[in-house]
Amino acid sequence: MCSSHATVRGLLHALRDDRGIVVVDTEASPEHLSRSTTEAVDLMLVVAEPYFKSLETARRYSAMGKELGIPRVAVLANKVRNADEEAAVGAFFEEHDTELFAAVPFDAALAAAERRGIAPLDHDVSAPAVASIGEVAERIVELDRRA
Amino acid sequence: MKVSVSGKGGSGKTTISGTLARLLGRAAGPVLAVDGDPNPNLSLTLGLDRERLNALSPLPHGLMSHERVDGEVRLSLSRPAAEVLSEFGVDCPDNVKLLQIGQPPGAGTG
Repeated sequence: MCSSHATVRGLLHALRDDRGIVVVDTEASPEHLSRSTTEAVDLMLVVAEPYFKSLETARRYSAMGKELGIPRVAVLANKVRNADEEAAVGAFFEEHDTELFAAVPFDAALAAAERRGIAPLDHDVSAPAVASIGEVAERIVELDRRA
Repeated sequence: MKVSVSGKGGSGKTTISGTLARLLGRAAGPVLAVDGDPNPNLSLTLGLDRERLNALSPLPHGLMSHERVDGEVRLSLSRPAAEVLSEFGVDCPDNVKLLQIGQPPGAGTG
């Protein structure tokens, strides 16, 4: 899929001076980093689940994002079940000098939305994970205002 | 503000991208959501209805051209971004426009 990498990269560069909000969902493999596909973003969020392999992957992706010169690279912990897990994730990334942007809780409502094949927002707008992502959105809007 | 969402398969990356895009759309107006995953599912998480989902078509070849930037040859969009977005972007709920870069879900060739 080399052409999709080139297209995303070209699009982001073409939008470089555009002030609008853009969210890019990347492929799971680190190719979007090794091929500089997403080098022209202001904020790279790396989603990590609270288990070692996922944390390790997120650490590697974060390091690659920083090498690309992305101004802010931060981890978004996901499917976090309790305060102990959140603390463990926090300690891991602190040790690796990587910002933990937020921790989104584990939420059965998301799996239920998945089973129904609909958007989480259309399934249950008051689900805890949706509320948590809402807080992330508010912070991004705030960053955008200050930029 | 441009935000990329990365992560291991199964981490919930697409669910977060789609939900984040819509909540940003609610809070701050138009948002462009780009699905750069060759196994694309963002459209579902954005809440695109099935009819429009099935009507999604891949971006045509020839949208990119070689260009020399700072002495370095790279692929660039051969048409203005605004034109590409208005022609190929799909309107989703909450002020979100989706640009699907990979093949649409269900195209099933790979």
